[in-house]
Amino acid sequence: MTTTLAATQPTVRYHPIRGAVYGLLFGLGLALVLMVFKVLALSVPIMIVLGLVFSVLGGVWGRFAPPRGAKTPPPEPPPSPMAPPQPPPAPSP
Amino acid sequence: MRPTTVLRAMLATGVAFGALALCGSAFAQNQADPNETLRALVPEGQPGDLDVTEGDAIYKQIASAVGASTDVADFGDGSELTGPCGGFAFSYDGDGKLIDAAADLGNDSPPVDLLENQQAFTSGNPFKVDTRGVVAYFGFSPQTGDGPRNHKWTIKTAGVSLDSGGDSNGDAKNRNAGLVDLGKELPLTFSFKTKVSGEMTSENLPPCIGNGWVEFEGGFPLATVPGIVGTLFLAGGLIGLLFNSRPAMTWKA
Repeated sequence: MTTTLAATQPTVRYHPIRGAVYGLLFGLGLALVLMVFKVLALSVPIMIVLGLVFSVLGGVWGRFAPPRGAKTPPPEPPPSPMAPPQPPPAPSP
Repeated sequence: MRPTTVLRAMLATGVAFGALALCGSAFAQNQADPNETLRALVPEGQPGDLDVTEGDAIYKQIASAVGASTDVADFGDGSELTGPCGGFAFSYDGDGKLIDAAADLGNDSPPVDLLENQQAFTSGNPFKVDTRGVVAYFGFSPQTGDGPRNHKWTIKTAGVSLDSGGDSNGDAKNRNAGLVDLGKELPLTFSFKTKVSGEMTSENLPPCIGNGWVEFEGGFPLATVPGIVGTLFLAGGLIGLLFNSRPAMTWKA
């Protein structure tokens, strides 16, 4: 029986869905803050538009932003398996 | 023409315009300020619940003063009131201090800001209302004759219906007055500027349609519920974008 050692390779995990959700939250919050300060008039369409725009931007950010480093170091490779047992010597005549 | 001559001509023209402007402003200050005539008709302190008789008397004084001293003639900037209706509204803050006053004579002229003698309910001059205060109002429809029978009314803002109602008005009343205590009617305070539209239809009169800008004042904006919610959404979204949705390196076997 043999065991093949698998090498760990760095890879990038993208989060476009998370980016879209947080972008939507940011857009709605920005719309509300601008409206309570009367920079923008109260308007449901404006809230929807800002929410959608920042949701799209957040999704793009979650997909194409520069990746940050891994939180953990690469995992240690498992220890080498024991050598197979040697066959017994042939008996003497 | 030599450059120095051009410069001298421009300087002389500028001085001439400046002198004319100074003369014009001096001329305006020498005339009686029409704002004071109108402003004097508005009670400085909260008048209490108006009745129709009292409101009618105040309205007649306002109507004669507006006709004599205002120069607001053209509709524009999002403010109008059409149909056989008119009246006035006085807005007071939570401490009873007057913050705004407007009137409409039920004719083709736009509503008038009684404190500043310009068009009221516009985007640049919205009608100010304190969400902790009150609004005293008087309205008529029409000024003479039977009032609206089986009328229905709606008020909308930001594309959303705020309120609606109606009445058979069997007595054909054509006037109404009262006091709206926003501090008691509203569940929370808020600060917004919004366009409000209203319409009243009836069996016997043409529709009364109004559009205008209203500015709600509820104290420091971030201390109101919408302000707090907006701040939380904004901060939460920003933190999530910066720290929880950026692509991340990871290890894969």
